[in-house]
Amino acid sequence: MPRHVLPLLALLVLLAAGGVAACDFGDGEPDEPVAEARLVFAEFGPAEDRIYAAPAANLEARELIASVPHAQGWALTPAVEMAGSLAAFVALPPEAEPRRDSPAELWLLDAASGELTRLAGDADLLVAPVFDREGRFLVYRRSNDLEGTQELVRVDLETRTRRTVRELTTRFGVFPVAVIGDGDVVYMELSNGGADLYRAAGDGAGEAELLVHASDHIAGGWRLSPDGSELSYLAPRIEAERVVQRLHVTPLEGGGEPRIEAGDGFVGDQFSPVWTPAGDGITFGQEPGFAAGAAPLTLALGGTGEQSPLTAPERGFDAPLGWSADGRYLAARSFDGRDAYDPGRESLVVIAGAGGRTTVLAEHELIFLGWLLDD
Amino acid sequence: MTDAALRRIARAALITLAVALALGLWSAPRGAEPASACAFLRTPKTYEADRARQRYMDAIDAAAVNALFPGSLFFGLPTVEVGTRGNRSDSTIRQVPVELLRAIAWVESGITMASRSVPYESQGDALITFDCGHGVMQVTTGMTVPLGNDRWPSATQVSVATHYVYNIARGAVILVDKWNRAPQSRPIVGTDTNSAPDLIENWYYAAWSYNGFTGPGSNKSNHPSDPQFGGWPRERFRCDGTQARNRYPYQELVWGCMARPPAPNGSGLWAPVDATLPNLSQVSYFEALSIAAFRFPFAGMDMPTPQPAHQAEPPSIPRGFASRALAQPRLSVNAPPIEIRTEGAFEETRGTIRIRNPGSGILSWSATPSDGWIVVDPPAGVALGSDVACPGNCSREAEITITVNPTLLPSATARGTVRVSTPNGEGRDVEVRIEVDADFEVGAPGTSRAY
Repeated sequence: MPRHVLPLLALLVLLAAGGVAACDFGDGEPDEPVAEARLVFAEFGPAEDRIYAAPAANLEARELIASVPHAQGWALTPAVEMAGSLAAFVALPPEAEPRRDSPAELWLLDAASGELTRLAGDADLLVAPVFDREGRFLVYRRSNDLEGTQELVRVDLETRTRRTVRELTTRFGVFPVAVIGDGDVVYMELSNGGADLYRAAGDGAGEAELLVHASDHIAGGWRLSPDGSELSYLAPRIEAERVVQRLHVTPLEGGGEPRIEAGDGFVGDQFSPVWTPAGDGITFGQEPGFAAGAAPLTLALGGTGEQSPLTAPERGFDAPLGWSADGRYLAARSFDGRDAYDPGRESLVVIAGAGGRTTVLAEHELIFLGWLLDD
Repeated sequence: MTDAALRRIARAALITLAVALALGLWSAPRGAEPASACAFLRTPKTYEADRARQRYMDAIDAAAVNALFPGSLFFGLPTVEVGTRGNRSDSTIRQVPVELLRAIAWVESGITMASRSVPYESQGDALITFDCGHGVMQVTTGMTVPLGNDRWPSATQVSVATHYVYNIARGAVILVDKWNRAPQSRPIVGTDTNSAPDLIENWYYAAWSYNGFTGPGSNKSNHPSDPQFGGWPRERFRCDGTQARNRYPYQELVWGCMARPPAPNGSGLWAPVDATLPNLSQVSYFEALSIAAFRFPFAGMDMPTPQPAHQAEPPSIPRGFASRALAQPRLSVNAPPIEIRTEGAFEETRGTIRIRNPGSGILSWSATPSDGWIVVDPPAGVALGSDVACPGNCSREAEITITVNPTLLPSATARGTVRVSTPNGEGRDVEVRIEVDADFEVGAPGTSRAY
């Protein structure tokens, strides 16, 4: 090697070392690793549902997390939301009589590891279980047809112990809505008078407390705000000689009344409200009316009333399912029809908050379980 | 006599009657108790027809226009009541929309008579669910307990469980029965069309009732606004196996299958009929289906006919169809006396009765033992005539295996009979003699059930 080349090589090595040092420590702190939001969903199969996780930015790169064999024709019913990496669902075991009132199994799935744990074998198949925010408790419903009773049962996920927090005889039904505080259970009870919201102590002691009369009709789509202080839901109203679903919000403390959050300026149905991860807004779908496609809107709370539309479908409308924890992606059911009565074909889509939307491709029905945020 | 004295006497009589009843039930012979659930102690056999369901489809067409058993009290269609709540009255109509009956049959059983494991065009275990739904139409009414003599299945129960023509006819009867429950205990669809039964949409509540007229919140709910069916709205049911049943009330499964006929053999089983569902954004339907209206006798649920309404198109049934479908089965029993030795070699511990059908069509039969210690398996079944498709390993004959429940033997040796009879074929009942020699000490007879 010529002698004059050596100093040049030494200089290059020094420059390279300096560059590496500058990259790693230039600002004195390491770079934050970018968290990746993954959509967790199941694809229905006649005898087995398959649960996948797929990066929001590359939905085709789905990975199989778990398979759930079930009674012919009946899919799993997922919890409304995940708690961290924990998902839960109810499913009819393959050997069960394929009927909606057969006792179903309650399962816990750690979507990060794929570990499945059976928690109970007496759940109502079609009633979605509900987590608390921290993933300490899971509440499900079971029915005793002979006695005509329904029970809300709280599972302590650490000890796996189960406790009936509310048992009642009802002509209609009760539905778990949220788990708040130290494990108290908020539930909806249906009667001829409509939908009432109650709070039952987590230890099952005492009488349930009536929180609010939510509607004279059947209310649904309950979601707890991120800070646990309010619930959003849909309830029907008669407006201009037609019935429309309207976004309501009700406080859980202080005895406040439910309020219609998005009334003025809206004509048709609103669909499936979900809270933004920061809790400063609610995103819901809307009927397209005369437009070809209607974008879901995020309505800012706290008095501004600002409305931020997301990317609209070419045709039809969306019914939101949930935001990823980083607030970058919204999962939604998308319909290519004109309204709730004629909804057309349904698909599962991921809408980026920054713009754009992608459809999850599948031959069978897709069931949204939640979002996983990887480190 | 004073009122108080009369009341005392009445009370004493009631108590005596109750005690007598309780004692009577307690001391009734339980050894021969044939069933713990449903009409049959053991699963009867039936014939599963062709994969294309042509036999079943033809029978459904005929059942819809009462062309199978006209005049039969049990299998013939009753007259359909017509009119709104205020003027509901009987009519001369004996029809159900065939479009509806086809879709119900598909939703109930996939239009199959036998359990999944039975190949097409052969015989095997009947399709019976744990709630006693039997066969193509999943007939439950009248099939939950044995209704024949000595608490054995009746002839009609045998027919419903084993023969698809009877099963389908009975399903149609039950659908009319659900319709006719309005207005006494069901609401009416068609307040603006005089609830005309030839409009498919007017059968919305009858179809709902076929699976149970249950309200929102119940784990059997079929209420369209029930939150159990997930987020609103929901895509229409496609009836192609790509969607779960979870999100649909029963009547929407039926409506979905009417609109998108299944194609088990490549082509659709019927012409699509996109019948209209009640539109919950219209006040008249919303109020009818509101939870406030769901109270007996459900008068507040009466609603106008969802539009556009679809007229049922009654099928034309070829002359003589029923005679050909039912054919002329004939009972033939190979009936030498059977001797059983409970402590003998395997083949000595059981006997076999063979049943043939030298006639035509499907012969339904049942086997009834005289005593509780005689175990017959299966208790009912079919034997196939030479005109019934039965290729490959399919057997036209039926076999009944006779064994003994030794715990119910009255003594170490005993005699009894098995009576083989047919509800739909020619031929007299045949009694087969059964003798048993049990080489053991009998302890406490009559203390076990005949499982």
